[in-house]
Amino acid sequence: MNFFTAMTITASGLDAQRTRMNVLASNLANARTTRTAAGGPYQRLDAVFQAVPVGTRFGELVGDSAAQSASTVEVSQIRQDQAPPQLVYDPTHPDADARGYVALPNINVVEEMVNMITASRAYEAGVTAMQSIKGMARSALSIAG
Amino acid sequence: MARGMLGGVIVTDLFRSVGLMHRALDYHLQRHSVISSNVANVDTPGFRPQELLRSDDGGDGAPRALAATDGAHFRMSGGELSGLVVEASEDTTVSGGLDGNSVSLEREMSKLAANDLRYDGAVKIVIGKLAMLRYAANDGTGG
Repeated sequence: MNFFTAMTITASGLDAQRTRMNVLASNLANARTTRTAAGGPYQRLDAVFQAVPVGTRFGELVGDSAAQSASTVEVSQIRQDQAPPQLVYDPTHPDADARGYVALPNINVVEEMVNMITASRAYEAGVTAMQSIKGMARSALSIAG
Repeated sequence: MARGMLGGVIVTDLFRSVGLMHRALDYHLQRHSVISSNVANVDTPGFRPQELLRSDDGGDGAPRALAATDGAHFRMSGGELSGLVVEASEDTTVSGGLDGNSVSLEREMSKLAANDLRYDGAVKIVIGKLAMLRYAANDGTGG
């Protein structure tokens, strides 16, 4: 476990939050998309995060438990939300069914905005952590005078 | 006479370690360019990030060992002047996006910051080594 491990872990978190932000932007942009390549309305996407233990051969050798338990994060998959579409009565819509209902994506814009705020705050926290690690490393270097 | 020779060896060693640090500084400077190139190509379709590899085998596959001239010396590999080989290669630990570009700006910036810190560390060591030389050259008066 050294400063550079901490930086790698933080970078993985920033990377994952940015990927999540892309997914959320896609959801917001397609909040009313009724046509997709797969057919039917757009389905809400969600980034699934997975902890990946840091490759710490050194940590295992010296029995550094902190290094063994530290994990980077990665997006293991982009999951499609299987919740049913919202049915809205709009007989003039070209994609309306025989009863006049249009299947709109299963997206709640307010929920997506809240997720976007949490992703944004998590990203900021990661940047702060990175600056803190850099500050600590510089302090360590200044011990030498 | 023997004492004078011993002194000569120590001073040579002092210069040699500065020489080693010069290799380390070179490596981090080159690595900075490679990482900068990755950052510059963050939007280039199909671009795979490059990494500068460093090995201490001197090119023949066998790790170099520090000369141990006394039984009490630690046996250490690496550190030989000729033993630093750098080559740019594809970073295979990342997966590509839809356009085949697999550069992560965050990871590259993190590597850049880490590289910067390592460079700073190497500079501190060089400064320390040169300060020791200056101290010796000034007859231990520090002036």
